Amino acid sequence: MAMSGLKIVARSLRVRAVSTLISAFSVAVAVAMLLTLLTLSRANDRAFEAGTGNADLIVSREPSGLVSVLNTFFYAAAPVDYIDWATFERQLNSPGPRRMPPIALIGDTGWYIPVAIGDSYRGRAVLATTPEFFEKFKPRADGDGWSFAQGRPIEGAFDLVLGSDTARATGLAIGEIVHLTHGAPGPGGQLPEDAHVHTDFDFRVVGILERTGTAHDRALFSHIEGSWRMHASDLGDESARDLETPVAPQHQKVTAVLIKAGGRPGSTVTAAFAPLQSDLTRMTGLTIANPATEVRRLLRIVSNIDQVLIAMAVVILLSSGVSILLSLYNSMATRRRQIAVLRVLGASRKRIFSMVIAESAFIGLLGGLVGVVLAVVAGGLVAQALWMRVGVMLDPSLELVPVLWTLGGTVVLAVLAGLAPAAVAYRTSVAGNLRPLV
Amino acid sequence: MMAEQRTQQNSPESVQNEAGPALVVEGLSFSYSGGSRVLDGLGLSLGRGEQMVLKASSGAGKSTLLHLIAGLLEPGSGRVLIDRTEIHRLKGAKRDRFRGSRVGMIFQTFNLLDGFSALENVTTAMMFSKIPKAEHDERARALLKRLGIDRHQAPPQSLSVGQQQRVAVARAMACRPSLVLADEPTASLDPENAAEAVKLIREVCAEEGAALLLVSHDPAVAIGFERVEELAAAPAGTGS
Repeated sequence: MAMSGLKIVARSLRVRAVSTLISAFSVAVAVAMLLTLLTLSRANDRAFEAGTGNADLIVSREPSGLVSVLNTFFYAAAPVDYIDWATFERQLNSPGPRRMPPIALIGDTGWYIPVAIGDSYRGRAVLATTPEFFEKFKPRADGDGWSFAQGRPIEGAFDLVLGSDTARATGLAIGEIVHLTHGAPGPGGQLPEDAHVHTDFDFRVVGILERTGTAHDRALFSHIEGSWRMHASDLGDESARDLETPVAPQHQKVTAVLIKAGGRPGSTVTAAFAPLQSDLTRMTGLTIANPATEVRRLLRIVSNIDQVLIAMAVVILLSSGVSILLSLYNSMATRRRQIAVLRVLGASRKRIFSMVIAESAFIGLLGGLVGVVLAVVAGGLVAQALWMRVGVMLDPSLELVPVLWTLGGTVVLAVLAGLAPAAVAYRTSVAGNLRPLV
Repeated sequence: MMAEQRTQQNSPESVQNEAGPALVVEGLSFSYSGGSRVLDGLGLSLGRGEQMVLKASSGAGKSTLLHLIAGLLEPGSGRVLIDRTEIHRLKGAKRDRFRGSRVGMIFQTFNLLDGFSALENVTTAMMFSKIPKAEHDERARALLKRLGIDRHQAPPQSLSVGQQQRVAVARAMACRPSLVLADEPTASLDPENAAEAVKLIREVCAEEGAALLLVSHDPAVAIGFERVEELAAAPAGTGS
């Protein structure tokens, strides 16, 4: 088979296989870091933005709006304080500074849904709520409502619905009985070994949700009435076991209330939102937050860190270019004779120059391609780790445009790194390097 | 016979002749940048297919002369014509292409390319020529076979020294050159292999119709050549 410039480049790279692979690997690591950070940064933003669902406001007694969003929508930790539900409803229906109750701003088109987090099952958080949660709350801001893979939503006080990942991980099926554990797990999913298990209250699995791509997939959903009765019983109120008897108001505790402001049907922007937030803020001791605003605030903080990390990855990529430069530059000392022979055989200086540049570009391309593969693997691992530890589901798939830009940039960087060695090769004296080795 | 730098005079007419010499060197002088003059007004001519040994002692400038003829060095004065083309008038890539297609070079240490098989060493020489790519492989194999190399895919370092020399000869002949320059081609070989190598080089050059200019300090190499001349060192202290 006839020789070609590319074959000569390939042979030259093969002769220096170790140096070539080390240089390419340094590029690969840098490209993988850069692509992983870029991908996860974008995926992170999307996951957090979508993960708060369609609630306009969240009301809690958390120390900050951001904490209440992280605890309620992402199950980061158990809330530390409770809202008295009866009091809250009363305030909601009492005339405020506008001489009209806040509930008027919710109206028939809005909604408010209580949620309580504080129990768990096998390290997974249980969100106690009302059946309305599955009717009106959408788990993704950018998606549809809930969809059931099996069964139905909660109806009775001790019905239980499983998130898709919980069903997969626990193996629970429709109709099975579950005993909840007191206490919500932290980020590591750990509970004290002596955590109290509510063995005297049987919760029955009635539904399994389809995957939503949010932290809710890792949760369980119980009826809030069952939660109230269970904890009332723990506190010695045996009447709570009688389903015919209403739960006493002092036992009706919620950790947050999700609210959708009223508006015209189909409209996503409502004039009621701002005055509602204002009215609720006047309620003593409550933390009122707009989930989207809180997530944006979080992402602004995180994006600064992202930018620092991405800048570091770029610096590492630049240093890998230096590695290519040094590798090729050092190789020139041992390749002068080869270059001289190629010149004798008819290769022009420009041809030699372009061959060295091609070698450099190939190292960059090889490193870039391996880096893309590493980024896919690393992205998957990081996404899995975040899912397991924080409950945030990221889509780690690489986007074509950043990949192409990174690959193109890497090749350009490699070409620039090859300029100095190529110049050395260009200037190599032919006659001086054909003399017999002593 | 040559104790002086001028070996043979050639008329301009012979240069212009269609069937004229493969090589004409006229008044060639060369000094290294340090000032020491290596060649001083050298002249020689080599007819098509003619074979000649240029005997020279160490330091007489025989490698320098070959590098000048091949256009790898610039002369201080004089000119070199190969196939009626003045090689130093060609610039850059044109000269490189001309050298690759018209001049074959054989070195004392062979200078085979690392990482390339014997076959690839030969086909690489054709890569820069106008020989159609489809013919490269066939011609390289034929040359290697002619020179007794069967292990075409073997890396040169796995071949014996004599075989490596023959691969180098095949590479020099690959582009059907009109002139072969051999620089101490037997210096790395034992006497038996040296005689065999010179015989092969002469035979292949004759078969391909290439003129051969072989420079060597070894008197044994000259045995059998009809034309043997001597390159004497340039007079000392004649720096340019």
